[in-house]
Amino acid sequence: MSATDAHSHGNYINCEKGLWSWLTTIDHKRIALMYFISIMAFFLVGGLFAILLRLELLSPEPIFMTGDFYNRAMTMHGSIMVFMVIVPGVPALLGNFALPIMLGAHDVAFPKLNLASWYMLMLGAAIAVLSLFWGGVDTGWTFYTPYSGKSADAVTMVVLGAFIMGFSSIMTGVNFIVTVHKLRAPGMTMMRMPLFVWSLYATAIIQVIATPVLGITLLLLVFERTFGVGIFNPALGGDPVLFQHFFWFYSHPAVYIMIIPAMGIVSEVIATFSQKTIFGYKAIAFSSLAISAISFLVWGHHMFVSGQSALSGSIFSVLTMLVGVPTAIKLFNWVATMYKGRVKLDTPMLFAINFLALFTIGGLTGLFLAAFNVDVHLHDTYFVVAHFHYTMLGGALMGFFAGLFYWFPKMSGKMYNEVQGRISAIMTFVGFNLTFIPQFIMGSQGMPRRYHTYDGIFTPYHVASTIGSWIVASGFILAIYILARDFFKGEPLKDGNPWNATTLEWTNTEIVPIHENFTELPTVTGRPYEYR
Amino acid sequence: MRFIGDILQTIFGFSLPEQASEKAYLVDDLYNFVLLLSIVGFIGLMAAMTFFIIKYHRSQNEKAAYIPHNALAETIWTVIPTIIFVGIAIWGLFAYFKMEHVPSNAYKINVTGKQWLWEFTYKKDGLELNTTDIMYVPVNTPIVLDMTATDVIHSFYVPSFRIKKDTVPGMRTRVNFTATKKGDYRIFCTEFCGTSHSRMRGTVRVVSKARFEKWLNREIAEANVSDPVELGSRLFARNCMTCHNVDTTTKIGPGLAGVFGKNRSFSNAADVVANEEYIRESILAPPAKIVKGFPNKMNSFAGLLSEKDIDHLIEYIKTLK
Repeated sequence: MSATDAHSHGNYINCEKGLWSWLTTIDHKRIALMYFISIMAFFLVGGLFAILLRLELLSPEPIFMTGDFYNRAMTMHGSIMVFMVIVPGVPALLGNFALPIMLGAHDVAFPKLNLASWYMLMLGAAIAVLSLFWGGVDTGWTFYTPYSGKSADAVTMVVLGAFIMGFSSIMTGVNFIVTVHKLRAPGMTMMRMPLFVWSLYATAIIQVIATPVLGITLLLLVFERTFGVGIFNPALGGDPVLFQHFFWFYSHPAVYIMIIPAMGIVSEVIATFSQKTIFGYKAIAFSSLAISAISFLVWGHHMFVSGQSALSGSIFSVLTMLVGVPTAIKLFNWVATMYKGRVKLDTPMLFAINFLALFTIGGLTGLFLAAFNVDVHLHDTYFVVAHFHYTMLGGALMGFFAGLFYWFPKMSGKMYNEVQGRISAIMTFVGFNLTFIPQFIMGSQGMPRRYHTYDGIFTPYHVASTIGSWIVASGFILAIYILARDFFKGEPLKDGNPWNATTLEWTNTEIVPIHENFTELPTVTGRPYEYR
Repeated sequence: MRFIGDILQTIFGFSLPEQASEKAYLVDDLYNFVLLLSIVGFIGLMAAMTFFIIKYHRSQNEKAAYIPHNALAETIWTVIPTIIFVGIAIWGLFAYFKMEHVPSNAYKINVTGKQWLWEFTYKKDGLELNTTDIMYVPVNTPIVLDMTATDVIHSFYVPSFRIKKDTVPGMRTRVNFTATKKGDYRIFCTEFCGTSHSRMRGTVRVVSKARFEKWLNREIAEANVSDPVELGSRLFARNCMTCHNVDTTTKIGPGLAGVFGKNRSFSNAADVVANEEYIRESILAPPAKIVKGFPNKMNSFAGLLSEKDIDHLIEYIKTLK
């Protein structure tokens, strides 16, 4: 093949040069690097909004923001972090890089679709962020009607941006599903796939099934705003609660789009850094699928006080508790994997342990919120804010950073500075807890979320939380700085498998993979993680 | 059982607001139970993990064991969480139905959420009273709130009562409580509703039954005054008294006693008899006719007083003798 000859020299990073070669690349690894840069940029912008919000909340009365400014900053923080960082983060960046190599494939099934998916994310993100110049949006990332039907004009822009980013998510999902089914190397049966691949597979199913519902919902909202078609606005004969049903029918499964891939990373990292076979491979693999299936049946737990009937509330409460079971199974399996292993606390493992500790708290506090009557008290308070930050930041993003440090040597051919990496992991852990534990307490005491000003009794908790936010932000900035610096200046690797991992991306490629991943397709003879 | 609930409340109560309603304990009992369970579970899991990390650290352990699964352990940690989690759900929903049960003799107050205030409507003997910000309720009396919203969705939350329910435009929702302690309790709006969402706070003022009756009778009578002279005199006190006396003496402007029906002469217009037309003009366009001997000092009240207000003022001024 002539393409092979053209790329036979050098690795995937340097086989072609120039900006154009990156913007037109269909190599999944190069696309992953483009996602790396864009998602890190979004993460910093979303984080900047978080820091501003926390700063403003130092005092019960306004410091430097008006109410409208606060509401816009809050909406931008939420929308950027959800739609532009956490949803695409693990699948589009780390999944893109690792999934084909882990399966022993040359690329994903549809390489051009993969590139198109990156452009869709960029287009949607650009539209959403540019809305700031048309006055911004103050509805919160949930766009609840009828408020969003009446609020600023830029709502239409942001909603269209989210709509377009949804296509990026669907395209990536379709690509991964087909890749998993069609491009596995000889001998790579489904039950021999690494758990990260299983998690991406479960995620891709949700992406493909749930995201269109969000797309349609947002489109209906745009129709209502633009053409006055009464769908959600009671003044036009619509039903505002219907929007909540539609929205959460996507957005609850979406939280599993965010967390399941991170769980996959943690499975890889814990097995590798314990140098021991994963405990309960099948249980972990199938619990991902179980979570994605049940996740479609629990959306009503966001609406216990919305006026939905007590009977549907009861059903949603019980079903929600059932999601807790596969989640608990995973936690037990990971801890059991360390039992009689050979544990080493390098940076990826520290981030994975951050995940384990913080996600456990996130999961346990979910029990409070799933309990029907307790949720009446806690709904829409800072308890909920803390809960989902424990799962999304403490869970999804800690897992994401575990994965970034874990695959960094393979992506760059360099080693990051281990001491600094560990410091960043510890800083994020300490800062995170200082930020969000006070939020649990003030939430239980009744501090409502999305409040620009608040009752003075909550001041000490807000001050502690703001100080924590500086530490957690410094930790993440340090981590990103280490990764960026050492991508260029890190110690070059001598060994293509520094962690002594067992999956194909470590065992069957060059130190830095070549453009086609493998010179010869590998043949798989056993399960992953066979440390004997 | 109550005994266990009380012990947990003593330990964990600091993280919850004061209990000021009859059914608040239903939330707190389950909250405290789940909190206890969470702490035990979390510490257990973290202790096991920490122990494994130390005991099986790479420097301590030469070779990893090969343990791909263990049916017994996996069955245990599937079945036990399932039982506990579903148990919590069932406890929670029974408690919820208990909380939702409205006693048949409950006293009804209508609540309306608007950007950005709470309006409370009391009804008695066919009369209505609308108040904002402060909701008066009698202690130890079942209350049911019949709620709606006029513009966007709001949510009515009283932390000390452990109640919360969205108020939705075009829909009626209900929430009930029985306050058990006199005092003021915070109301928060907990559904994001725009610019001043965080200012959409209010107070529930729990008072004795006797005081509530007294307050309601006074306020509802006050709100339903229909005598135009009485209403006019109040408007006069608020708007006119700074410059006009109600006898014949001069303040800044002329005293108004006996003016109605008299001939008035002006420095800038022909004489007229002070009729309703003239008084209306004096309120809305004072410089048109300036009474002889007085400076042109009065500002127009156009836009500040309604047509009805002016009618009431005229009725009042007619009575000044």
